Amino acid sequence: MQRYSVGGRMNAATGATLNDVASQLWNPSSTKSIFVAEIHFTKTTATGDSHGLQRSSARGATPGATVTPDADNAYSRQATPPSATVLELANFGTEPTLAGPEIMRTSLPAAIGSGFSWIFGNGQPGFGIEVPPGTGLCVMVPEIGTEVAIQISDAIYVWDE
Amino acid sequence: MQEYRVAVNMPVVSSPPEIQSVFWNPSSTKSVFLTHFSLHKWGGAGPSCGIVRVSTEGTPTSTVTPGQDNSFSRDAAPPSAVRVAVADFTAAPTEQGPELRFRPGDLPGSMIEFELDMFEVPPGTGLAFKHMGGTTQIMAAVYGWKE
Repeated sequence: MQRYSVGGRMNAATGATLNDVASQLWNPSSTKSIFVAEIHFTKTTATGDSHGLQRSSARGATPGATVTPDADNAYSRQATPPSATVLELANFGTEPTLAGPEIMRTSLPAAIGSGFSWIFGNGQPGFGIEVPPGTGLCVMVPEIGTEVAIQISDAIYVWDE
Repeated sequence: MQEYRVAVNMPVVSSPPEIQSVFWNPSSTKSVFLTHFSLHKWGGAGPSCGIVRVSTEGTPTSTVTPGQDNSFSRDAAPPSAVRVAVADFTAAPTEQGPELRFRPGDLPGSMIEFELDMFEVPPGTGLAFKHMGGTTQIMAAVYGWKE
């Protein structure tokens, strides 16, 4: 099992709409699961926002930016991700289809550089959140009464496969 | 043993001290083991907070029921059928024992996180987050557990 990380910047803020997706790590494989060990977000604007984490069952379309990791994103630098996993970033023309209740939640203060780090399975290889073939894991706008847009941020996902 | 997490939005309670959410284990046979609890604030001035065991779920305004998608492995919904009940409660849960007290910061976006070493929640009991006093706030809670 190899460890990979990939990062990218949102092209635009999300809408101030429940379930608008800021970033999605999408596993397009038809056979291989991946295991997400870490997610990190840091903000580029001084406006408060809130973040949730949900699975996605459909990819959506036309993200604002896409980052395709290759062998340079492997900690060992030995191989491109076998799953062909990609990072997609807001704003989406067609939002991903979210599945199930939220897994994580946080809010950030109105300060540039504020952020969060979510670590799963103690960061151990293979103990993170499993993302089965043809599904994804999204940071999205959660319910907080009156929803607020997720500001333009840098996103980093770390996973094993 | 599978690992699960679920996040809930907790509306403002009407008259603290008052329970704002309950992680409830309705199983008659299975214990669950809490590994993570975190509180995330959207508003400014922080309330005083507590965590307390409860022996009844109470009557909540809404309930979030985690499913297969809340499993780290995405294999199955929680066998215990654990759910999170959310304020306001028209019938308050029955508290057991003293609270574990803490006070988050006054800044929007401040948070408190506990990583727990398999804190057992026996069948037919729960663990509640309690707004102890001070400014009422919309907050979010994340419960993580194994079963």
